[in-house]
Amino acid sequence: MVTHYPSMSPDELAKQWDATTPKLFGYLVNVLRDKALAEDILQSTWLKALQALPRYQPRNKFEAWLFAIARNECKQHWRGGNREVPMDPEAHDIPDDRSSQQHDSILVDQIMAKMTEDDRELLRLRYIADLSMNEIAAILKINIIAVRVRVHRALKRAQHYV
Amino acid sequence: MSKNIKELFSSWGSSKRQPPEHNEILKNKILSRPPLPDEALAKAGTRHLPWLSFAFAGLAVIMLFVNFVNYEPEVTLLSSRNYQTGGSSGSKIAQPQALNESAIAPDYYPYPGNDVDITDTREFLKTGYHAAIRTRDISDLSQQVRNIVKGVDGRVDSLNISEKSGYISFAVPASKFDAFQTQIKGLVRSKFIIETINTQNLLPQKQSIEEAQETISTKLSVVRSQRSSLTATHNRTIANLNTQLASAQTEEERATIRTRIANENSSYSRKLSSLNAQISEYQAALDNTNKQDTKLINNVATVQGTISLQWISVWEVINLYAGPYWLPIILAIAACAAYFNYRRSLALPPMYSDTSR
Repeated sequence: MVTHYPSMSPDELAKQWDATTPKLFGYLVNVLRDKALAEDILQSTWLKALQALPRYQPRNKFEAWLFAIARNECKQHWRGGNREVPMDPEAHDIPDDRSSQQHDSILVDQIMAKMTEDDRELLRLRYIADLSMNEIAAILKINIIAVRVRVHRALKRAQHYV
Repeated sequence: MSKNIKELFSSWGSSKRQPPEHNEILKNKILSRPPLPDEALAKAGTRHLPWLSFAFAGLAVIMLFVNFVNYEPEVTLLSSRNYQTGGSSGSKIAQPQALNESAIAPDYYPYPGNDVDITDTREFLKTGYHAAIRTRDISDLSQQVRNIVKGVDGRVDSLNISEKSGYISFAVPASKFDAFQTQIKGLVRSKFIIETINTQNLLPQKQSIEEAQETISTKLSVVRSQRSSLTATHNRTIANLNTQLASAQTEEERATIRTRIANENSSYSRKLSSLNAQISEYQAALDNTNKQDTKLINNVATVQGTISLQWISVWEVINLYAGPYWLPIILAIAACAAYFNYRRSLALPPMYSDTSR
């Protein structure tokens, strides 16, 4: 049974879950390099979001808001003395059975490993979370033009690594 | 490369999007949790300004203002106390800020000329010393100062000690002044003592005394010479008259010579007493000048000074070390820290940050 929240109906919430969770989980796995930890953070993110839901303003995109919470949950996790662990794709990353996509994925993972954390974060938000430039700007609290420029530069650097 | 970089990343991004292993269980578990009570959220929502930062900043401004109003330069604070006249001689030498020519030179010194020749390189330095010491224990420090004064063969001229302040005037030999000063400075750390040393060369006074001595001596020797000459002349005259008296034939001649002898004796007595009076006068003047010379030498050989002691609070000790604005600075730092902490919490999305408090 789904609890009723004043700002959003149970059906809407369930739809939001279905739409957002794959992106969010993929993002968290890529950030944290740990599936179990990503699940924990996913839960705490949703719990925090649901607690604050009565004050959620529908004019803001729910998805972007959820990602902002997730980012802060990650920060809090690291602030608590936990540090990022090296990625072990065999054990933790999501398996991919499509051969060409698997090849792309490995290639991009190698490229990402060479990039700065700022670039990685931008590209994660842009391509895993599938957020718009506006939403990324709102989450990172920077100008949308700056986001465009930074994404463009990050891609250029990525191109260079290819 | 068949795909461009954007397509590559898009493909990579979509490949990463997958639900967690127990998605449905998680979904049901999380979405079925009861919402947080509205009051708690409302309460959390009211705290949206950096009040702690405002409080620290306000306190910093208040303390800055208070310090600005109350701040006195350290030197003024210590040296503007009322200095009493030190020393048994009544000289004003012990007043460090009032040290001037009239205070140094006793009234009875001959007025020195302004044009002191540079070829005379002698020094007759009169030194005045004042120290303002701040301490937590007045009586103990005053006892130490007295011991130091006695230790360098000096004397304590006056002593006033109370719980919060103390005042000692003293005189020490100039030859041991350096040792004395070193010991006084060693009593407390340099931040707690301010010394004032005034030195004046009394060469003009010395030269003036020497000139007076020379003039008086010259005059004295002239008068003495006149006296000797007078006596010799008188003796010759009397001897001559006595010879004439012995060879005189008539009573009338003898009477005349006797009258001349009497006149000569009378004139001689008058002149002699006049010269004797002058000699006494010059001798007295010479003695007086010699005394002045001795006094000047003794004066130069003595350093008179005062030490004022003042109790210092812990707050003032901190002020001495950290400067007058340490508290506003600390409060400002605290305000900044509080603000950055607030900003850090702001980095969370609005609703989330509310609930996280």
